[in-house]
Amino acid sequence: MDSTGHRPDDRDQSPVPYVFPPWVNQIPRVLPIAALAAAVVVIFTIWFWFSPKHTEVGYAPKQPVAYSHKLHAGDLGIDCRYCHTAVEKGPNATVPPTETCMNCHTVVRHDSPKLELVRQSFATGEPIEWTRVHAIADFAYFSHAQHVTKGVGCVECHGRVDQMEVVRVEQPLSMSWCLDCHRNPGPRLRPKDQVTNMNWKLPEGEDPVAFGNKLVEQYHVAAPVDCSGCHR
Amino acid sequence: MSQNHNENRSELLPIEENGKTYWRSLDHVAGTSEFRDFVAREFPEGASELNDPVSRRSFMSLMGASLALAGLGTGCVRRPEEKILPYVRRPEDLVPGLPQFYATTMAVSDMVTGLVVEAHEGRPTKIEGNRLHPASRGGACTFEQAAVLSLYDPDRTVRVFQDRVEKSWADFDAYLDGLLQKFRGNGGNGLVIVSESSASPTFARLRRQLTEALPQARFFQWEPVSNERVLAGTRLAFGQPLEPVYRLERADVIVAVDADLFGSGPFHLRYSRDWASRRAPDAPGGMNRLYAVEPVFTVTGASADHRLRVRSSQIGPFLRALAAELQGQGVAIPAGIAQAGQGAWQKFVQALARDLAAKRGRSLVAVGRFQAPEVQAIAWAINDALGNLGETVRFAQPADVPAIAPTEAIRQATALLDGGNVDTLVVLGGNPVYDAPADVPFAAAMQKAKNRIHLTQAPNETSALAQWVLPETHFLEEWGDAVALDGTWSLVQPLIRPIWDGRSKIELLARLAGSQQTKGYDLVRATFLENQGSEADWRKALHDGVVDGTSRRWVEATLDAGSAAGAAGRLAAPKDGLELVFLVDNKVYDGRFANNGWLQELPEPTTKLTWTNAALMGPALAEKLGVKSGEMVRLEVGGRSVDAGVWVQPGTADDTIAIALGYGRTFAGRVGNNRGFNVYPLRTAEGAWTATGASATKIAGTALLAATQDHHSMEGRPLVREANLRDYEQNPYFAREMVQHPPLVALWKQHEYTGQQWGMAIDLNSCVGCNGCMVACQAENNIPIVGPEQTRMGREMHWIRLDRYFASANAADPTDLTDAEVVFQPVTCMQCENAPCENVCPVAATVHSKDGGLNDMVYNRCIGTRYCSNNCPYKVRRFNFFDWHTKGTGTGGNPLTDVEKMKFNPDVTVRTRGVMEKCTYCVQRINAAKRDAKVSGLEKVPDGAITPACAQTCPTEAIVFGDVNDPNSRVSKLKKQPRNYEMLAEFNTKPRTSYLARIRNPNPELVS
Repeated sequence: MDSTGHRPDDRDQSPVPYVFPPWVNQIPRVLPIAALAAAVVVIFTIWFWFSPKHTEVGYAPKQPVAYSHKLHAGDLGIDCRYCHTAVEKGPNATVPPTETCMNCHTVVRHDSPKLELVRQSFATGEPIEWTRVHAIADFAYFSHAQHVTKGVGCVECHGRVDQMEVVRVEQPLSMSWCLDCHRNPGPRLRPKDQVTNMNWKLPEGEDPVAFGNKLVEQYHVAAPVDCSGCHR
Repeated sequence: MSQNHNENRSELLPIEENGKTYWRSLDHVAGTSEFRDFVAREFPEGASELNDPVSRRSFMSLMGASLALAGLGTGCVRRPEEKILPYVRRPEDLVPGLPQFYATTMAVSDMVTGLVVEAHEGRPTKIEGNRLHPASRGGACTFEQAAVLSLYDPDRTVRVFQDRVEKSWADFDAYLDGLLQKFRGNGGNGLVIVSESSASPTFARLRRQLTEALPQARFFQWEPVSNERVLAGTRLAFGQPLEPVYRLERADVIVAVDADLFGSGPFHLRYSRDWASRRAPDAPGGMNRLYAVEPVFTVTGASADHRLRVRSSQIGPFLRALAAELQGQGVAIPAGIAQAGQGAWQKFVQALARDLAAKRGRSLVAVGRFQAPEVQAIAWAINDALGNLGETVRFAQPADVPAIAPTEAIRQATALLDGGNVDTLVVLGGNPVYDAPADVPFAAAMQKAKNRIHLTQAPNETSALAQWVLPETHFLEEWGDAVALDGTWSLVQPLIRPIWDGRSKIELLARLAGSQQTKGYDLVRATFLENQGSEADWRKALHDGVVDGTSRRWVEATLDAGSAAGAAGRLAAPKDGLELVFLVDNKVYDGRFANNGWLQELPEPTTKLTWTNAALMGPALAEKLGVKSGEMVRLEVGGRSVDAGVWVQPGTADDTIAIALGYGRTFAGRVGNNRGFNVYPLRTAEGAWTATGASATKIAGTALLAATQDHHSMEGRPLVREANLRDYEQNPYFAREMVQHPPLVALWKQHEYTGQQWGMAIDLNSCVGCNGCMVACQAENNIPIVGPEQTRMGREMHWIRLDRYFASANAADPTDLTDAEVVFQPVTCMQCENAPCENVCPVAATVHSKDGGLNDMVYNRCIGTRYCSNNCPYKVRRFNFFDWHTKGTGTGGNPLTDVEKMKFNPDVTVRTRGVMEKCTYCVQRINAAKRDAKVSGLEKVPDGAITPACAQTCPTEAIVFGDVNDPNSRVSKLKKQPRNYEMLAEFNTKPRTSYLARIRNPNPELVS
C-alpha cells in the first residue's frame, strides 16, 4: 500500500481510495450459509419451544375461587364424578354448578371467607367465572363420555389432579399427542371401574401389552384416526 | 334458425335417454353463452375474482399490519384466556354439550305441523317433524325448517314502541287499562280487532270471552291465503261447511285439478307421504296414477304421470267436460253438472274418464283451494258419483270457523274504519296494509282510527301506520295450542324465553277480554284441562306434542245435487284474453317470511328463481309479447298496474301469466326489502286468485333474476333415469343398462372398506322436489346465505341441491317445451370411494376416512386452490368466496349480531373465507350416533340410528341412509333393487350415494 492509500495493483490505476477492507469480499459467500443456519435455528426453536408441549403444559391460571383439588379429590377422596357429573354422558366433563359446592358448604366451612364468591353466586344466581385450563381448538370435537366409558383414566390426560393445589395442564393436548394414543390405545386403558382412580397401577404380574390388548378387545375400542373422527 | 345457432346446440349436449331429451332450462335448449359457461366452468366467469371493495393496496397494508400483530401480540403466547360459566342451578336432565329435544307445533295460518325441536343449552337450533303428528309424520317443510332463522332475526320487534319512541310494557298496560275502562262502560263500542287467522282453541275461547265481555266490539280475522273457498264449496255441495281430508294412500287414480297437494296448504306433507307410499312399482295395492290439471307448474304437476295445461278459468269447463265423459262411461253424475266440452283436451278427458270410471271408490278428484266454490261443488258431485266420498276423502267439521269469511271480514273492517267511528284498532299479527285486497283500501281507512295498536313479530307495512307497535313472541318462545286439519290437538311449548320481551297473541287477547289469567301457560292449560282431560294427560301431551285420540270425528256428507247443479249453472263462461294467476309462494308464503334469508335464497322448486318472484309465462306468450326472461312487463288489470320481471316457464297455460304473492315488501327488514315485485295491488277480493281481462306490455328495463338451475350443470350424460311402468316390468334393470362401459379399471390400488360403511339411496320416484332437504341441510350445517348478486354469480352455498329437468312432452320436437315433463333430482356429495377431488388436493385437505368411508373435508388444511371442485364430476363442492357469516354479505353487509349467532349448530364448524366445503353426510350426527353406541356398549351403530338432516325432513322418505356393509340395512336393501343406479358410475368414482330410477305410470291410452 503506498502513501496515497492505493493498493500496489497494476490492474487498477484508479485514483479513488479503497473504502472496504478485503475480507468484505467474503460476505457474499458466507451470508447465505449464515442466514440458512440462522433460519434453521429459528425454525427449530419455534418448532420445539413454541409447540403445545411447551406453551400449554404447565399453564396454571389463578382461579376466582381458590379451590384445591388436592384437598377435595386427594385428601378427602371425593370421586371426580361427584362434581364432574356429565363426564360419562356428554362431551364436557362440566364444571359443577354453584349448587354442587353448596351441597356441602352450607354446612362445612359455611362462613369461610374463601367461599365468599360461591355464596354470593348462590344468592344472586350469577355464575362464577372460572378460567378455562384445558382447552382444545374449537374445530376439534372431543367427547369425554367416549373416553371415560372405554377405560381411559382421567389421569391419562389430566395428570395427578388429586395432588394439585392449582390445576395445571400436564399434557400438550395437541393433535399429535391425541394420535399417539389413538393409534395405539392399549397402553392407556384400564378397567372401567378404575377410571377415576388416580393411583391405579397395572396389576402385579400382568403383561402391559397383553393387558391393554385384552381391554381393547373387551371394550370394543376403535379409536378413530380419520380426520372426521374429530373435525367436522 | 341460423347454422351457427344449430352448431352451438349440438355442442351443448342435452341429456338423451330412452327416447327422451332432458333440458335443465330454456337457456340450455337455446344454447346461450351463459349456459355454456355454467357447463364448461366450475364457476361462471368472474365468480373467482374478488370484487369486493378491498383493493390490492389495502389488502397489502392489511396483511402487513396483521403479520406484524401476529408476530408481536399473539404469535408466541398461549391462546386467549377463556372463561367457563357453569350454571348456578343446573336444570334437571340438562347435560351441557348434549342437545335436548322438545315437541311443539308450528302453525302457518291453517298449516299446522307438529315438530320436535333441538335445543342446545336452551337455544333452539334445528327443527324436525314430529312422527306422532298426523300432518307431519316426521317430515317438515321449508317454512318449519327455516323458522329458527326468523326467531333470531335482528329485524324483529325488540321493544314496545309508541310513535317510534321506546316504551315499556308497563306504559302500554297503563294505556290499555285506560282504554278498556272506557270500553267496559260502553260495551266495546268503537273497538275493532283485526287478527290473523288462528288454529288455536285457546285463541277461539278468548275470542268468545271477548265478545261476551265487550259485545259491541267487532272482531275480524283476515288472512290473504285461506280455505274460505273450500268451505264455501262444501257448503254449496253438502249444505254445510266441511274440511275435506284426502286419503291418498287409498286412491289408485288421483286427479289434482289446480290443486298443489304436495306444495303448500294444510296436510301437504302428509299428502306427499301418502302418495309416495303407493309410488314404488311393487307397492302393496299397485302403483297409483296421478293426473295434474293446472295452469302453471307446481310440484304436484311436476310429480304427475300426466299433466294437462289448462287456464285457471277453464278449470270449471274442464270438470264439466269430465263429468260429461263420465256420464258416457255410465257414472251417475247428477243432472245439470255435465256439459260436453270442445277443448283440445278431449282426448285427455276421455282417457281420464275411463280410468276414473274403472276405479270407482278408489279414485279422487281434488280441486285446489283457490278455485271458485262453484268449481269445487262440481268436483264434489263427481267424487260423489264415483263413490269416493268416505273412501278416498273424508270430511271433518271445521274447528272454529269465524262467522265471516276472511275476505268479507277485511271488507267489513275497512268499511267500519272508513266510517270514522272507530276509536281503537288492534291488529293482532298479520300485515293487512300490505296484503289486503286491492279494492279494499285498508291502509287509508286504518289511519282514521284514533288509536292504532299492532302486535307483531317484526315491524312491517302495517306497523308503519300504527302508533303502538308491540313485540310479539315467535312460536318457539310462546305457549299455545293448535288444531290440525283432521282435528288433532297439539301443544305449542316454548323452547326459549322470549328474546325480546314479547307477548303472544293469546296473552294480549286475554288482556283485552279482561281475563283473570294473562300468562300463556295458564291460558293454554286452562283450555286443555277444560277440554282434554287431567294433569297427567297434560304432561303426556307436552311430551308427545299431540293429544291422543283427538282426531276429529268424521262427518257423513250427502251431496245436495240440486245445489251443485245450480252452482255449475252459475259458472260464468270463460273469457278469452290474458289472465293473471296469483300463486302462494313456496318460500315467502304470503310475504310473511320475506325477511328470512334461508327461504329467500332457496330456489323455487319449478322455476329455480331465488330472491324474487317473476311473471311466469309460456314460451308462446313470451314470443307474442316480444319479451325474454329477465325483461320487464307491465301487467294491468282493472286499471291497476304493476311492473314485473319476466320468466319464461315451460308448461304454463296459454295466455296465462302466473306470479307469486309475497314479494316487493318495503318494510320487511334488511333481507326482505325490495325483493321481487309486489302484486297485491292487482289482487282484488273477487279476483283473489285469477284475474281475467288482464293485459301485459313490454316495457324498458331489465330484472336481474337470480336463478340457480344452470349452475352446476353436468353435460350430456344420463343423470336422471326414468321409465314407464310397462317398460320397467319388461326390463327392471333398465337404469343400470342405460350406460354401457367397458370393465372399469382403477389407476390405484383399491381400498378395502370393512366395518360399518355409510351410504345413501335417493328414490327419484318419491321425491316431489319440495326443497325441505335444502333448508334442513342449511340449518343443520351452518350454511350461509350469499345474497342475490352472489347467487347470480353461482356462489350459492347449498350443500344439497335439487336439479330440475324438463323433458318435452312433444315427441316430434324435443326442444318444444310448451308442454313439459319434470324430473327432480337431489344432488349432494356422493362420498365417492375413488373420489376425484382427493387426488388433486395439493395439501391433503380432502381425504378418505377408513372408518365409514367418508370423503372428509378438513377446513383447517384447505388453502383454497379449488382444484377439488374443478375435478368433481358432480359439482357438489362449494367455496367460501367471502366471510359470508361474519360479513353478512347476503344481508347487505351487516355483520352478525350476537342474537343471530345463536342460530349456529355448535356441533358443526362455522367456515371462514377461502375454504372449500361440501356435504359430509352429517358427520356430526354419525359421530353422535357412534358415541351413543359406544357409551351404551354396542359394537355397531344400529340401522336407523343415524339420519342425516335431509333424510330426516323428507316428507316422503325418499332419502335413506345407512350401513352399506350390512346386508339387512334399509339402504342395502334399496341398493339391491333393480331400479338402483349410480350417477356417472362409468367414471369409476364408486359413489356411495345411488339413485332409484323414477317410474312413471302413464295411462296406456295416453301414451303415444
